[in-house]
Amino acid sequence: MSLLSVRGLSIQTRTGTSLVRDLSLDVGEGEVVGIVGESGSGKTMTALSLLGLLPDGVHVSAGEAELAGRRFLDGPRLLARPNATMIFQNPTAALNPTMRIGAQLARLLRFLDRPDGRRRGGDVRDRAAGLLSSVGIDDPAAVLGRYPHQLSGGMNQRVMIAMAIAARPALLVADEPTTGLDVTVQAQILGLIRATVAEHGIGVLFVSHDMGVIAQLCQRVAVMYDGEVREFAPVDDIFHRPGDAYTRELLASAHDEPLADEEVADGTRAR
Amino acid sequence: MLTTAGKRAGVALLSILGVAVLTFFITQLLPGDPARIAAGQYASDEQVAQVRATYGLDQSVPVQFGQYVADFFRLDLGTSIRTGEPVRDELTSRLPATLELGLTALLIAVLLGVGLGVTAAVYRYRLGDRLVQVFVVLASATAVFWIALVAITTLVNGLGVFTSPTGRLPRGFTPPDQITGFYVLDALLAGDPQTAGAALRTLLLPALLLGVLASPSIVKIVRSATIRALESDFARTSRSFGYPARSILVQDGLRNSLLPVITNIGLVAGFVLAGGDVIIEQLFAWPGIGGYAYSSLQENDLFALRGYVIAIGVAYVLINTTLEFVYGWADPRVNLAEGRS
Amino acid sequence: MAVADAGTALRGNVVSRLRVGNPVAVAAFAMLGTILLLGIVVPIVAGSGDVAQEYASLLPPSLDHPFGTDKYGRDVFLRCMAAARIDIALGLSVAVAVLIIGSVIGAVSATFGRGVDAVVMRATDVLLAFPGVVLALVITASLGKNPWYAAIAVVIAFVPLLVRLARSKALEVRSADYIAAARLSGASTWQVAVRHVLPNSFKYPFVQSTLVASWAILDFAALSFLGVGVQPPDAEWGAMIAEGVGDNLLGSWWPSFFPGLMILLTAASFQVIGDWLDRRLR
Ligand SMILES: Nc1ncnc2c1ncn2[C@@H]1O[C@H](COP(=O)(O)OP(=O)(O)OP(=O)(O)O)[C@@H](O)[C@H]1O
Ligand SMILES: [Mg+2]
Repeated sequence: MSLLSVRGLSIQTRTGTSLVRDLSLDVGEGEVVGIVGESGSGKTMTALSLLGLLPDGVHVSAGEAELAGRRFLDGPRLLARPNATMIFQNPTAALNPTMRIGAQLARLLRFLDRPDGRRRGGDVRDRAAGLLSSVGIDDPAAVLGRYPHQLSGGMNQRVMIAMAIAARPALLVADEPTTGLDVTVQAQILGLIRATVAEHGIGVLFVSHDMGVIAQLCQRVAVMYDGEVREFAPVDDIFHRPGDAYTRELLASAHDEPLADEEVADGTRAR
Repeated sequence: MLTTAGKRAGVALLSILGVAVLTFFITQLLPGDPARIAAGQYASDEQVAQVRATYGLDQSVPVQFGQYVADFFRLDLGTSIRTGEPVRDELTSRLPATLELGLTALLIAVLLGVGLGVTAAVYRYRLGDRLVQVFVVLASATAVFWIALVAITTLVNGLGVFTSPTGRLPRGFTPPDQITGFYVLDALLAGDPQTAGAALRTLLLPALLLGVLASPSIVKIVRSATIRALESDFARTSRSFGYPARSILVQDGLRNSLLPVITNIGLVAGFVLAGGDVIIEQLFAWPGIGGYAYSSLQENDLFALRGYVIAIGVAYVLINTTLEFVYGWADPRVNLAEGRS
Repeated sequence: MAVADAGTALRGNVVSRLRVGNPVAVAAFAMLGTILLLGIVVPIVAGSGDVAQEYASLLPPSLDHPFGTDKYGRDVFLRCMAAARIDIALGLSVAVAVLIIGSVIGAVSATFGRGVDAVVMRATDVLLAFPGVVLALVITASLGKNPWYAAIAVVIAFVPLLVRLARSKALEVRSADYIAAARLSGASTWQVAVRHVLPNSFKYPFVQSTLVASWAILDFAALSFLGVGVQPPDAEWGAMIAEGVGDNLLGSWWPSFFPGLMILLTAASFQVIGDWLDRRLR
């Protein structure tokens, strides 16, 4: 049984322009599913729609989605907030520029404490520091006292991941979380996501236009073009037996990026 | 940090000097003849010459300028033709009245501006926003002297909501002993709530008029900054965690939209302490420096007016310099940029 | 070549965007047009009615005198319309003057850079250290009480604002490719400033100048109200309100109410048009 299942998702603008059409995919527990596709193909809109975060003027026009057996999206209506969190491209902008990291983590932890009225052990600041160490930040105390603009993009993405994990989601949606980071940092962040999946057994929907990254991380891949899923298949099939002309095109252009195919062959991707 | 502070103080000092020099040039060097203007339209040539001699206007321009700068640094703003008193003393004795009115107006402008700006942002592109936009257009197109008259006719004479425009206190009240110079505060400190209440009711109408008319620029700036913040990536992050709307509005929206308000306060202060203030003080018989400027203007007391203008220019420079510091302190990003330089 | 292309592109853009209608903006244009038209036609039809004292004093508004009469027995409507001519003409000419002076100084300052720029910036700093009305007030008081001086003073008060704006936009344009091309093809700095930087950075100052028209009308009326602009018995909205203060306090609200309403309608129209242009041309 899959963790996340999306059926027939369509997204439109207010003026009726179709951005995503009849999209279906699913993510299993402990599985990383990739969405690839060129710029403008609707990857981000798909991801945002699952958390009810579509921008003004864009809405889900049809389709349904379930998470852990509970339906949360039914056509245009978001029935409930799914137990999912999201990390974004450009992590520095995704954090409040006027609040220290410590304050942003405290805000989240206090909010998460509230529903059951139960305080988890330890003081908020200690727990915040603990979260930062768990995403591989060496000097949590220093980072807590910083503002986002004082930290690197990679560090901010770690903070975002720490926050996303703190909410104990069943599903993590990641929208190009490593785009714009340099290669070594990118590898660290991918490693962190992999480790998170291993440790918490959550499902990940991972959006990227980088075939190399997809190959390293994902078990199954949905290839999107112009708002539609062209192909949804295990990663090996996608890379070695592409069933769709557009997938082949995408692979051909990805061949220029040196690491992509070798890594598949090396089997360095997570399982 | 220290060097930037020093740099800013230096710029402020230069600006103050510029203010003084510019005022000198305007009042003394423009084609108009200050002595003739001061002596009045119907003065004889002898009377004009008399004025000219008394105020040193018969000296050469460089000598006049030297004298002027020397006086300026001794904080000597000259003597009023109208009253014969030192302009500086007259201004300082009237300053608390203006500050009480101006600061109250500023407070009203900021509260109203932030409140309406945030409202417009929350209801952006919908009816609430439209209504705020209508207010903005109307308030920024309203002449302060006109709306003051309308308010006096309807609210004071018609409905009797506010007390008559007779200065800082209604007739029959005696001013409290001066501590802060603000009647409302001083009366409270003196344990006289009745006088404090009367002073507040007298203060309220002129302060409201100034505050409301000064608010549009704050509304505009808060609206666009709040919309930007609410549609920002970090507000989206907050929504992704399911934070309550109120928390997003305050922590993500308001927090990030108050910064631009600080830079705008300088402009607003210009209106509530000077531009609109001259007119309001005159119409409400408010005994502050604006009313002083008005009387000086009516009686062609160019030197008193010059003193007023210098005082306003200097105050304006000081306000803006202070605001720059406040901004640097309030916005972590500015702080950092300076820490590096 | 590149320059011509950029110019045409800009023009095509502006024209196509202006065509889109907006009811509020249309209403503002209509309002302004009506006031201006009445301001031109009514005084011609009525002769010198605006200063003639031919009626009973302080008649309240009626069919004969829609805005009533003032204490000298003059028709307030006629005077309001005679004043419309002056005030709108003033608003427009101040806006145009400020736009031209401000854009040229701004473009020159940005294009020449260094010394010129530093001087211009310090000068605007000092001018901006005064609230506009106060600056205008002292200039007018020093020159003498006269509407022309008041107009000049209002121009001086707003020029620094436009210089700043034009300069910052010109700085953006200056680094564009077609400017580099013009420089390479041997144009002098002056030519670059006036022929290339100025036209291409004109848009924002132009929008701003619509708002300046609105503010100028308000400030000019304020100066007249304070007695340093238009002098009685000439009709001008601010001066009319000043004349009506006493009557107003004694219960005759109309001689001061209607001129203020005219200011409100006119200034608001300019504001709306400015906001609309801002959205359209951005
Ligand atoms: N706020 C919006 N309103 C209307 N249309 C939008 C909006 N944001 C994006 N779009 C359109 O939706 C389409 C899909 O955009 P989306 O951001 O999902 O693409 P993407 O696959 O994530 O691309 P990229 O790789 O560049 O991030 C694009 O054509 C885009 O122009
Ligand atoms: Mg995207």
